[in-house]
Amino acid sequence: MAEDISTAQVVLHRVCHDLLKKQNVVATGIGYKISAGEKSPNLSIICSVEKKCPKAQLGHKDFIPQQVDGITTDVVETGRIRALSAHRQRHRPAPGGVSIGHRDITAGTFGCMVKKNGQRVILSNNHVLANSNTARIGDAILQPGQHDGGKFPDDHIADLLEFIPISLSGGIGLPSDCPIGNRFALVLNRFAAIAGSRTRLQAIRVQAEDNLVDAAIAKPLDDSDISADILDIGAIAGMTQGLLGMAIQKSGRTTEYTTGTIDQVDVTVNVQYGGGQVGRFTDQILAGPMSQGGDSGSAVLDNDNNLVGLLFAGSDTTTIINRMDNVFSALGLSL
Amino acid sequence: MKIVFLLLLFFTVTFTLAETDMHMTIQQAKEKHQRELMALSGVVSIGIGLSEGETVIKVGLDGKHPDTEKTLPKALEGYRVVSQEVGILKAK
Repeated sequence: MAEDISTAQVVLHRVCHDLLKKQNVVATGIGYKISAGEKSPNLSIICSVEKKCPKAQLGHKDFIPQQVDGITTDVVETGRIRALSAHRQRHRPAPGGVSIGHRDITAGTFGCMVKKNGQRVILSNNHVLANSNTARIGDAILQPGQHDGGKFPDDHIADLLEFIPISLSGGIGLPSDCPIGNRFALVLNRFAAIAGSRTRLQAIRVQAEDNLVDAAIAKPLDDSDISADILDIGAIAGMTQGLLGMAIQKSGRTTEYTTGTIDQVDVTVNVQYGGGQVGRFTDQILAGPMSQGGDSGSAVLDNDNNLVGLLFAGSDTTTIINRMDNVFSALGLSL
Repeated sequence: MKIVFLLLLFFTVTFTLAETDMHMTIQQAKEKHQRELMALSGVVSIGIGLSEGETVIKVGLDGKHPDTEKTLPKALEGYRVVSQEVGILKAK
């Protein structure tokens, strides 16, 4: 056996560079070939590929031979291999730009540390910290988010403190704040109670209103569990208005550090929230492709590290950002 | 002579003021027309952007919509209207 492995090592050492040049090959190593669930007794050279392709689709030079210098080969699909990102790991203290989320969601991004009544809090989106209006104040927030291995109670970093409800159309409406509708429901509910009915009426708003922000804050269990810095960016210098053509940067859970340019301002936009629900937002900023799913909640800054906005939506080609001054005034925040 | 001059000055000033007042900013033009634009099939966003160095009203489409593109006005209140495919915008 010892002879076996040293022979295989010598062969692998000689051929690994050629194997790694082939299309799709991401790693080579020595191991036991597994066919039909059975481990073969002989050592093989195992080529890990991003994706297995039929022979017909591969050029002659990209095909992995069944044997190399008398040693059998095996092809295993492992997908793309990437370094375990710091943005998806557990941090204490946690800086902005890392994975976070309400315990019922997959994962989003911790934008940055801000202050509410002088208290240090975590800023992100409503749909990251408050599960798109459905969470309750005091719910557990995990860092990293569940999708990145965050578990309750080990990774419980904060509790939901406040969120700005998002007005959505296409789903069930939000409770109405119309005094007449609510009074009417109250009176009818009294009659229902007298009549012994167990059903109650509630006034809801069916016409969705325009939104300015998708924002929420969470209070850390311990002040020292969060840091004022943003991973890959550093300290926040201040706040500024996002202007047309301005160069911007962000640090997020999925695409990590990216840069872009403000392509549009004063944007009115319809955003999909899943389940056929749509939220209309006004006074937004639009930038090019600088985000993917999981980057929601990232703080967007200019190149002098001044806060410009809060990233919350987009497509493969477009990123939509709330204005940070709208976020600060909606939640009563300061730096 | 003085009276004629003063009258001339008065008319020039009022006329200039009236004209600047009548001219809409691009924000006002966008505000005025955005509901009708957003109602068109495939339109998901309206914003203010740049095109060839000019400030324009940008209409974002969620995919290919040749019919909508044909329906879009070339300009509104003197500001050029430009369409752009922004894709289906989702909360991330």
